[in-house]
Amino acid sequence: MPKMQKKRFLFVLCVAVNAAIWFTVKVLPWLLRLFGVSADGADANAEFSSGAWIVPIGISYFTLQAIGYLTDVCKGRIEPEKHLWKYLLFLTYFPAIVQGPISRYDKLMPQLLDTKKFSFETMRKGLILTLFGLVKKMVVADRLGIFVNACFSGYQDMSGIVLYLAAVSYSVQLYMDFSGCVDICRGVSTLFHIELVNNFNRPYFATSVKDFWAKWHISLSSWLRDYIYIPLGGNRKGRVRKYVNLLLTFLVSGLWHGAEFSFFLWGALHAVFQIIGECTAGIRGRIRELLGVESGSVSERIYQTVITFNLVNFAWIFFRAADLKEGFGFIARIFSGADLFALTGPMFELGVNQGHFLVLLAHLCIFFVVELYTKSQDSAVESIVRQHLVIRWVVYLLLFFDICLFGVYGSGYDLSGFMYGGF
Amino acid sequence: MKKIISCVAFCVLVLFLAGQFTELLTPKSQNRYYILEQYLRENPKQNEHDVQVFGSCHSYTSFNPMYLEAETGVSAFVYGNAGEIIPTTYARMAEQFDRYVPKVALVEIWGINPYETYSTHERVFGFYLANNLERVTLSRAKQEVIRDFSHMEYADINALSMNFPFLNYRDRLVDGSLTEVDFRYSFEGTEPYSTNYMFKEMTSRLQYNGFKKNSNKKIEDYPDKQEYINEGEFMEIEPDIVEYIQKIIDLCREKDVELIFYRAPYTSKVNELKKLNHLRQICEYNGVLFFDLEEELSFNYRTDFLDYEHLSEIGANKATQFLMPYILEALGIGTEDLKPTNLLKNGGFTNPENTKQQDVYEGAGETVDGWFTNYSGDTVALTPNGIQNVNQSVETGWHLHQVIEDAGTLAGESLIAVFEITDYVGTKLRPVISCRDAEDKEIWAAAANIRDGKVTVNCAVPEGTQYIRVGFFAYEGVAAGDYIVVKSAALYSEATLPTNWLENGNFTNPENVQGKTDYKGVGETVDHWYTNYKGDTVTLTSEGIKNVNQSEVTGWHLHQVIEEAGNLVGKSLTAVFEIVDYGGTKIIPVISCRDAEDKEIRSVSANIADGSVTVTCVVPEGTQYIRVGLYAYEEVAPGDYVVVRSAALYEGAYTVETLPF
Repeated sequence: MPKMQKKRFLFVLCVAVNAAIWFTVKVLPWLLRLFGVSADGADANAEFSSGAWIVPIGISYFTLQAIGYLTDVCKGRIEPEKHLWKYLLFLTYFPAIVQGPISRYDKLMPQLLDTKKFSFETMRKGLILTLFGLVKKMVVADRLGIFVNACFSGYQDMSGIVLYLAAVSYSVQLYMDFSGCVDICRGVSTLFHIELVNNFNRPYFATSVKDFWAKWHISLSSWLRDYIYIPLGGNRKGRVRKYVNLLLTFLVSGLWHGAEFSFFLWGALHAVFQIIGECTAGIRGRIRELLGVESGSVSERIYQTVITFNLVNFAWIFFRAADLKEGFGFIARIFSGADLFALTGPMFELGVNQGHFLVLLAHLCIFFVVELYTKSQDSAVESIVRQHLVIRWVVYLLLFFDICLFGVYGSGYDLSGFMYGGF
Repeated sequence: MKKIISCVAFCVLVLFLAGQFTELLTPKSQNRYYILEQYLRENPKQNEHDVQVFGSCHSYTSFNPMYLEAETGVSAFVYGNAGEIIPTTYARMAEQFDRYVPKVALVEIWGINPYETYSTHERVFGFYLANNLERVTLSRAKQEVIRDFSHMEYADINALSMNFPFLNYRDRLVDGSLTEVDFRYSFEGTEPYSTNYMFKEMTSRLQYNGFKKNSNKKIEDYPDKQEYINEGEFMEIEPDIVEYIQKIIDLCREKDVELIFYRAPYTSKVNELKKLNHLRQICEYNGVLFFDLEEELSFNYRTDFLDYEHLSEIGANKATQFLMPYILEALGIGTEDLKPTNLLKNGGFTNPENTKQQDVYEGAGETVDGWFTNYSGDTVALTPNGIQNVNQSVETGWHLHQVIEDAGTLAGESLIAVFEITDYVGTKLRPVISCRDAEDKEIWAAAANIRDGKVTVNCAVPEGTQYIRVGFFAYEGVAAGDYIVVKSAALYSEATLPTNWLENGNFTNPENVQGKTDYKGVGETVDHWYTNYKGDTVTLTSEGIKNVNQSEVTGWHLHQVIEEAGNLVGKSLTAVFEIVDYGGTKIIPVISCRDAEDKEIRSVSANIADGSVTVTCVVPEGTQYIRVGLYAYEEVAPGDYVVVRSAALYEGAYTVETLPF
């Protein structure tokens, strides 16, 4: 066998082995359940329910990292790692194993092997990032989660406006939870002088769904782009093929998030939104001209941001729903009515009282302002680190006691894991 | 170095703020331990008792420090808490010993049974453990308990929430339950604002050095409820609990504290009783005292209990009485060193020593041991109410007395004889102290009129006295059938009695500089005794001082002010009023402790009743003046009155029964 063919064969084999392991633990149980197949004839649903199937922690993430590594080696972008332990260190770097971000070998490995020198400033940065992450996760995401869970589990009896608020809350919860976790990972890594890729860049300020994917879960979307979309041909093989590639890429993304039809639909929706967006770009441009709205103006950006947020928000409903039925039921119920009075009284009996809602609102306002007026969260962190000791201490204390006083933990609360840790 | 110092300073700041949040957020009136801790913080002297009692709710319902103090003068404090299990008790003892090392520690042992008792496992571990442990100061002992019990089913404890309790109560910031009181909490200051039952209970408890004064209730079927008895069957106590029993023993050994374990009676599971035998074995091995009070004492289930688990005040006094000699022994003092010496022998006539074993004695001679009659007219009989002397003659006198030989050493001392008269007929019999020379010739005699209740006779013993006769004498105008029933007789040297802080408290013969027998309105009446309202009309009668109210609106009262009462702070005071008669029930005996601006900071009162009424008060910090007297403020009516024979204020805590004179 020629060398190139052998290399290609080995590459395909390695990717297949990695994908097969992932497929076996993540997709196969769903397929078996779907077709009612069980090894011993027992209740298939019970056997392959999530609790009965041991899934290695972080498998989705290190499978992607491994496939990315293999591709880069195959394409000659990086030299293969000949030291097994070093390779495993790259693959299983502990802060990122649960929820990412998905690191590239050429970015992470040199940092892992570098000699480090202790620096107070780096430590400060790491601690602030970690505290930020904890605030996002424990104070905002988990508190919103209580409300969201209550709404999704009992949506049949709820008012449309409350459910819309729940859907928006879920969008915020997911962002705060996921970005909070990434902040913690990055914060911990910073303590070791390792800089992980920033996975988010103000995604809910995106002006289109395409833009959203350039700002949301950046390490995954760039991985999908580099290792699925572009190898499929990207936009180089005509418009129809481009759309097909887009659809396939987002279906893979859906499958990666979970073997459920609702995830497929979520992925497909994102692809369809982008395809429609591209197809209607001309018409929308003409309408904008007719209305006399200047391209790139503030009003246009606000309009685009609001529309994009709602489209993403709509898709998240399927992402959160247990299945398609619940997703469609939830959406149907949203359009059942807009009783504004439903936003008072009973809404505060769903586990989050008025006081906690006010605390949430205050936090969201702060995060909104920080995201609006800073280029990125990192620049905000840099700015704090440079402040006078008194100001720094005030910030540390505020963050620390914010978590202590308003965080969701301890008796009376169910511990909730990181949402993206389940993928 | 600079950076390390700033890191340390930052950590200190975090701890300080955590402490402040804890103070702010802890529900003030819903944690007995918090209230106790706050009280001890505001009254640090209450940490400094040589007898300290620990344990569960059974500790503070079975041991009465006030009774102990009244009986022996030894002060004690019960630091126990509801549902406190032995590991928490250990942490609590370690904390308390850091503040003050007592000489004796009593540990009530309900807490060795957290896994199986009348309270559920869920309640013991899910509620009481966290509630009691979270307030214990940061210490190694506390960390050990957290480490060993945080894994228990239902145990809602972990190192974070137990050491920083504000984490448990953080939701109070947003649920609207924070009140003004949370921002300016103090035990004394919050009292009027708290309606929570627990706060009220603790307020009451802390007036009595941690003792919960339960009234008795008739428990009709206690023997049925207590269906098991300890038949010596052995069952091992759980190892983690044994470990903490041993830790308590070791702690006391290390600090040189005498340790006594005891069990108060309560309806127990059979295994609880079996485990007592293991505890007994541990105690024997370690040379520590252990008493199962249910075995040692015969409790009366009709009077000694509040319910099936807790003792009433009567039961607690009984338990305390039992433990008393062991405490005194541990303290290295005898009971007689603390009680005023009774110079009379065999003065308890309900159960006197009676060598001759006769129920009736006629004519002259010795009757019960040490008590003599001199005349043929005397017929002495023993009754359940005391000794009865019935006169049979219309000519000779009749009497009953005891002779104190070698009374020469008492010359120059003031003596007080106290007789408890149950019943009498005929007025010529008088309680007497008769001082006699070497030839048995009377050189001085002091006497009082006969009446029901306690009668006292005061006598300054003159020089030349060799013998003293103390008793009842009737010489003239005697009639056949006159009789007297005496319950007890005692004779004290005044120097051995507790100080009476009131002046001029004998109202049958008071000092009365103004010389009037009637006083109206505001001002001083007999010396040192004041009225404050225009409704007061005070009259001197042969039976005592009478205050009649004339007003429908204002209150009425009679009081004395103790100036410079600052040196009484922290002490227990007992006011004793002998009430002859009263009409209207709104007048109450009161001890009112006041600050430098004469503002009341603590007031303790009792219900009015005929006979002797006592009020006991621990003088709080900041006291400068104390008012003692009888007060009526509300629902007053013209014609309401009270007649008081005497008033006194003694250091120490006494009940009518425990007053030594």
